[in-house]
Parts: sequence; structure tokens; C-alpha cells
Amino acid sequence: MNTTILVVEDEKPLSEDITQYLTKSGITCTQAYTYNSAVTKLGSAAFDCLVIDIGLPDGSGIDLINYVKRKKYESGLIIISARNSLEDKLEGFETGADDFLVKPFHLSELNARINAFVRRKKFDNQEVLEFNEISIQLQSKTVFVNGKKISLTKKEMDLLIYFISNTNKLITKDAIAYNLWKNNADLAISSEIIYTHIKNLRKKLVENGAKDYVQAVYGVGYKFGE
Amino acid sequence: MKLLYKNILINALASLLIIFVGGVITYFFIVHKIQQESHEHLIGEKQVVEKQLQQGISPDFFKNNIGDEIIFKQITALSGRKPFFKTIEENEEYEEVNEQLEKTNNDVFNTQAIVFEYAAKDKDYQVTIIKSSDNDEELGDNISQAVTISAGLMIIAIVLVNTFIYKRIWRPFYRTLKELKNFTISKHQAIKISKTNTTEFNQLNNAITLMAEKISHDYLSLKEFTENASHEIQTPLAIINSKIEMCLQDKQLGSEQATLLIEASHAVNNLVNLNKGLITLTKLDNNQIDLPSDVNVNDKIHKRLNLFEEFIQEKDIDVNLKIDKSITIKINPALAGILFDNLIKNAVKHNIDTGGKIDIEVTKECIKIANTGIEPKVSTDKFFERFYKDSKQESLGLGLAIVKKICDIYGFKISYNYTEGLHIIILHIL
Repeated sequence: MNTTILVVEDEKPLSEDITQYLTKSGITCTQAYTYNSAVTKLGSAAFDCLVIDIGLPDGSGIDLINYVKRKKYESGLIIISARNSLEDKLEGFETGADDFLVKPFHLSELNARINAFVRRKKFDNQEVLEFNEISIQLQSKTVFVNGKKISLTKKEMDLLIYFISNTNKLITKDAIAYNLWKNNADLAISSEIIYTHIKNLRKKLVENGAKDYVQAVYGVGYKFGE
Repeated sequence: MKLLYKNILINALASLLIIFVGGVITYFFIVHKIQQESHEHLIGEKQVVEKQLQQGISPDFFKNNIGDEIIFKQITALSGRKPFFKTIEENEEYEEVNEQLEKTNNDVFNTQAIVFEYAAKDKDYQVTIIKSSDNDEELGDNISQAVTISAGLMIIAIVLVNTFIYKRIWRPFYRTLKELKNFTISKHQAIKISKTNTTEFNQLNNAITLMAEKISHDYLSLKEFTENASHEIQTPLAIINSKIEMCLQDKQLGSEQATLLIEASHAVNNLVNLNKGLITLTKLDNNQIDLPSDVNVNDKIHKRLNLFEEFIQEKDIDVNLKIDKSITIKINPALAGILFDNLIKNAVKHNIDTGGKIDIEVTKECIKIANTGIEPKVSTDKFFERFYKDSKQESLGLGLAIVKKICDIYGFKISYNYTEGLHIIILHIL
């Protein structure tokens, strides 16, 4: 079954991009630009996950989270906020948000987070993430190529999950750096470390019989896919 | 100078002046009175002398019998001049009494005399009666003594009374002062000052309370503005970023356009980081952070080194630690995190590409972080200023400005220098 998402974001261009990007990844998106329309849309359909901007024209995203909790909807809640303050984060998590993403973020990052959340929620992490001959058992964090177990470092594993979550997408070096190193992304960008990790991951996959799915786009980033 | 001392000094000086002027006035008043009295006395004497002369008593007789000095001078004819008073000074024409006058004549209290003419039966006389001034002599001394003593007493009284009154009257002022010193804007607490019975202090307290409320209000608006500004800036940046990302997904995109987009994306990322840094600096500027506690330096440094381990290994950096494990500094833990994060990240980021080193030394006095790196091309005086950056580096230079700001908040002195291929930053924590 398709994953369904409600994007509650008042900035139409941003909402548009999120919707387009996620739709291309096979997620069904509904858009709401205001608190009230979000409430209306929540009443007419069930969503796996809500992507909520804190600053809405007619209310706060926090209020919406409270509303969802009050109504006992099962949806996952991912806050996207321009505010990076600790208080906002704490308030967000206290009210029951599942994740917090600070604007500006990479669409690939949002996609990866939604996928991770849905996997956790729907399949209780029992799910096996598959891409052709590669499969990852998420709970035990083990990777198999053609059924044969291979060993990856933690960063290589995270990188592979990130790639599979964003297959056939051009992923920039910055996005990878942010996904793997968060606040220290700048250090990663200024060093060769991303290249090193990707090189090692490719080597391990290919040596164990997988096709080389990683495609370097010179000066821009990488693409994972056929 | 303390208000108390200033007050006493001014009061004492003013009193001295008043006492001096008052003394002079008193003095001349008394002199005048004495003169007046002398004149009355002399008029009385004159009547006595005239009466006795009428009775035919010889002038020679007077010489010996009256306390005052009487001088008879025989004149050939009456001038018709009315009796007049005279102040006897030295070298007067009365040679006979000069000797005596010299004795009695003090500088100020000049001896008074009355001069009148008298026509006896056979002879005309000009009579001069000189008042004996034995009693007046000491008066001058007495007056100046009295004035001096009262001046002394008055000054002692002024000091005592001032000290006492000062302490009583100014008590509310010091209470207000204490309250003001304890006022921290970030705590959002109103200033509470109890009422006094002095109108001016009540007015002052009211003004202060109002001002504090206004400041708190403005502060909150500023904080809100800062947050809103960050929000307003981040959102368009997020849109630019997502647009770039969407563009990059276009399969028809040529590699040249892709490179252009990536360059734009880097610029946006720089802007994002700059904005974040500025928000942090604004927060620090507004002292929006309080609650310091004892933070172990060793723990913080190790935590950061662990975080950056991957990058340290990647650049093959040799880390040497010389840390006194017991050293703690009083600082807000979150700020300590930012501080060491920036310092150590800098040492890793601006290290040479491979085989460099980082030396960290922590003693009671200072924290020293030295790392290998290329020599800065520009003057290092402005190293800790906002937006300083070496032309070659990509860093936006806010990291060290934030470090400096945090050091300023806690009173740590920070210095930078470059020697023998090492960037050395020293924090004086004592």
C-alpha cells in the first residue's frame, strides 16, 4: 500500500517541491496550506504521516500536533521549522512529534526520514529494505547481497539506506554530508571523507556480487539506481 | 568619591565660608556698638566735666581724679566748633598722652575721645576726654576665639549629623541600587521596590520600575524579532534550496547547468550557516543565556574529539593531549559545548591536508589549542571579529566571533598567534 502524507506548509513553492519530490518516490501527498484546511483534510482521510510547518498563518503547527493527539489519529508527525531554537524542538517533541527537521533541509533528507518513520511504524522495523539483489534487515542492521551477508561500517550502512530511500535521484554531496554527519556536515564537505565512504561501499557491494549502482555526477553528487 | 564624603565636604566648606562672613559681620557690628557706647559714655563724662568746671574746679584737679584721661588745652578764642568725637590714633598731636595711648591703642579698637570747647570765667579751653579702654582690649581676642570654637563645633556637628541623616535618608536609594544590580533582563522579572516616605525616591523607583518594564518589553520584542527574522530568512532559503534540488532531478539537465546549480546551492548553504551563526551571536549579545555550572574541561574536549574522530583519522592528524583532568570552568554547559565545538572543529578544519597535529594543553591558568595549518595571509588582529576570514578559506568567520563572545560573557581572555607553522589559541580561564 502506498504511503500517504499530508504536507502542512503555508509556503506554496516549498509545499509544491516537497509534494513533487515525494510523489516521484512513490508517496501519495495531499497539501494543506493552513491549520484549518489541515484539520478538514484530516477529517476526510487517514494519513501515515504529517509534515508540519510550525508557523502557519492561522495557527501554530504545535496546535495541530495537539489536535492530532487529541483526536487520537495514528499519523506520524514530522515538524519542519525555520526555528532552530532548542525550546521549539523540546516543545515539538513534548507534544508528541516524531521528528524535527530544520529549514532549509534537503528534500532527500525529508524523504529518508519519512521512509524511516513509516518503516518503523508500519512494520515495527521488521521490514526488509530491498533493492534488486541488495537487502537490508533494518532491525539487525545486516546487509545481504544475493542472500550473502556482507559487513559494512555504520556510516556505510547509513549511506546505503539513504541511497535506497532516494533511488534514481541525484543526491548532492551536501545532502549526504548532512544525512550522515548532521551538525558536522561542514567538516565532511570540506574533506574527502564522503568520497572515501562511497568508494568503500561501492567496493564492498561490487566485490560481493552486486551491480555497481552508484553513479558519480562530477562536481554535483551521486545517483543510486539503475 | 562617595556621596557621603562629598556631602560632608561641601557642607563643611560652605559652613566655613558662612562662619567666616558671619564672624566678620559680627565683629564690625560689635565694634560699632562699642564705639556707640563709648560715645555715650564720653557725653556723660563731658557733662560731668562741664558741671565741675562750672563749679569752678580747676582743670588741674581733673587730671588726677577721673579714670578717663582728660586733656585741657588753653585756647585764645573759641572757634565755635561743636563738640565732636575723635578716634585717637598713634602720633596724634596729644603728645602728653602718646605714651599711654600706645599702650592702650590696639589695632582695631581705637580709643575714642570727645573734643569740646569750654569757656571758663577767665580762660577758654579745648577739652579732650579720652575713654579708658582697658575692658575693650580683650574683646577682639574673645570674639575671634568664640568664632573659631563655634566654627569647629559646627563642623563636627555637620559631619555627625550628615552621616546620620545620610544613612537614614539614603537607605531607600541603596535598596533601589541593590535591586537594580540584581536585575537580569533575561529573567523576565519585574523590579520590586518597596515604598518610601521620600517623594523623590518614590518618583525614582516609579521611573525605574516603568523603565524596567519597558526594557523587558522591548527585549522580548527584540527576541521575537530575532526569531521572526530568522524564520523569515530561513523560509525563502528553504525554497531556493528545494528548487535547486528539484532542478537537479531533471534528467535533461546538462552537467554545466548542474555545476551552476551546485554553486548556487553552496552559496545558499553559506547563507544558511551565516544566518544560524548570526542568530547565535544575537542570542549571546542579548545575554539570553544564563545558569552557569562547573563544567569539566577534559570531558568536553574528549567528547568533541570523539565526535570529530573520523575527520581526525581521515586527515591523519596526530592529537597530543596534556590535560589536568580536574580542571573545571564556570560556564553554561550548552555554551561550553559551542565553545569547544568551534575551537576543536577549527583546529581540524583548518589543519593541513594530511599528517598535521593538534596539541591541547589544559592547566589551571589556561586552555591552549595549537594546530598545524597554513600561515594566515591577512592580519590576525581581527581574528576574532565577525566576518573575518582568510581569503583562501571558505569559513565565514563567525565561529571564532562566537568563541570570543562566549569568552567575553565569562571573562576569559583569549589570544591568537601563529608561530612555527602552528595556529595557537589560548584561553585564559583564571
